[in-house]
Amino acid sequence: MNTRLFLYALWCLGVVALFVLSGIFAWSPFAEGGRARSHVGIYGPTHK
Amino acid sequence: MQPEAEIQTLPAPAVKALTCPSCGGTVELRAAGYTVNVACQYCGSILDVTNPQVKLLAEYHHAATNLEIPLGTRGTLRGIEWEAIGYMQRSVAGSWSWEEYLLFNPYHGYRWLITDGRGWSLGEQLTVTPGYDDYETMRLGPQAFKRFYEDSEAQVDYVFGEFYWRVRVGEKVTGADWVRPGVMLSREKNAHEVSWTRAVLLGPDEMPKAFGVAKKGRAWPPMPHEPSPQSAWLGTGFKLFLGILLLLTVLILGFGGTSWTDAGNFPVAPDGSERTVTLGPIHFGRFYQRVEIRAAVPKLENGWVDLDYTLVNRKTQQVYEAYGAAERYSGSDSDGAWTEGSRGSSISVASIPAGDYDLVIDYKGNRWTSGSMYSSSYGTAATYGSQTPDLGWLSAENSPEVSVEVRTGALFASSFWIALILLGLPLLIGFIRHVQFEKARQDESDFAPIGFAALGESEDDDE
Repeated sequence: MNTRLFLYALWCLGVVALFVLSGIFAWSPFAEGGRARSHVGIYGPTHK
Repeated sequence: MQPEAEIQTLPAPAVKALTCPSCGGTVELRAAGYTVNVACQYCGSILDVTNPQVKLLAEYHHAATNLEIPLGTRGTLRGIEWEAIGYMQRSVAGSWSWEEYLLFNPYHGYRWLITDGRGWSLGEQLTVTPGYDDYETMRLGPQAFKRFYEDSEAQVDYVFGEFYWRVRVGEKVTGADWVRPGVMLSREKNAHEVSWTRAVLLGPDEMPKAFGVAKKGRAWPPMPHEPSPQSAWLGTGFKLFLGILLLLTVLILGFGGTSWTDAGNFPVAPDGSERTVTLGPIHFGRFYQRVEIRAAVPKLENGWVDLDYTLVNRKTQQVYEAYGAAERYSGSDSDGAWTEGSRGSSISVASIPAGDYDLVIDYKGNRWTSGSMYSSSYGTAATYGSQTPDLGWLSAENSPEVSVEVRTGALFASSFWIALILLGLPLLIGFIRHVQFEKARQDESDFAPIGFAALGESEDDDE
């Protein structure tokens, strides 16, 4: 097997493993939970 | 040209020694009986060895250069032992020079070792004539070759050793080349004949192992027939990528999730004061889950609702907090009517362990009036004192309320997109490097780039 292909296959395995772990632990770096209330003080339409 | 079937019936030639009539040096004849010309390795003079009386064809007085493969060296390439018997340095009008070693094996005939300093190719003269597929493509059996170098005059600059034809310095032929990954097809013609050679690019370790030459590093720009290192894995890599995408889809379906559960409708205080409701217990059965909370404020207009969510584990009292807001604005100006924002809000809390939870919601309705951009309380009923305020969407006849729904799941869409990016990134980098390689390789061609090397090329560039 080509070395680059082998490394890519390993990489894919790692990504799939992380994906499964993110599912098992229901984790995402973009989840809103735990964030500070950052919206306070700036309200109103922004397009004008 | 030496048909192999005939060669195999001939006896192995003996090494024969000659005396150079020009310098008196001893010249070894390694393919006696086949060799027509010998270039003296001491003075470079060309000798005719077809007759017992060696005849001086052209006299030179320059010493043999230090050859990378000394003539007489034997090496085994792809299972056949070859002996280097001749050396030529050739060029196109004195520039673009390359070297050719003539190899000989009494049972397999002649081959060429060709190098321009970037790598080695093993060339074999063809006994068949390739045919044109189209203007750009030459076909030899199942293999198609793309044109690379157009007709140019190649000359012999130096020559040493033995040859099967009457080679001499200054000899010129018209050469053209076609390539496919790993193979070059060359045509050489003069007034008397046309010959075709198929040269196979040798691996970087083959020549050091066979003839003890120094290993060459990666060449840049690449050789005309050098295969892109990326092309060997990109195709299969892309198929693997598609397979993994399918696997991820199956995993997404496998992880599943729950449907929305209506948690309730809660009235918003018209005076803008904060209210709190507690819902529960809500049972989360999965090992860990994503909890998604969706709020809708149907009557919201020119205002916003702050929503603070707190999930409290009844058993451990561990707290998970999140914040959301629904904002909706509308109006009209010189461009016409406009709206902005949404009457809904959806948030997700990650990694909530299994257990029974209370969901505490602190929420507060606000009204926006032009100019009240920086205060969450400004513009609410409380700021109007005893005057009858315009409560907007918060007025009692609107019955302003917030409806909340909850569901659980395992995966976030962001996880899928991150996985997709991570899986695709090596392919993208590989593809970019492949295009760079192809552009650099085809830069040397006399013709306009083709395939991926033509990406980004305009029609004007081709002219």
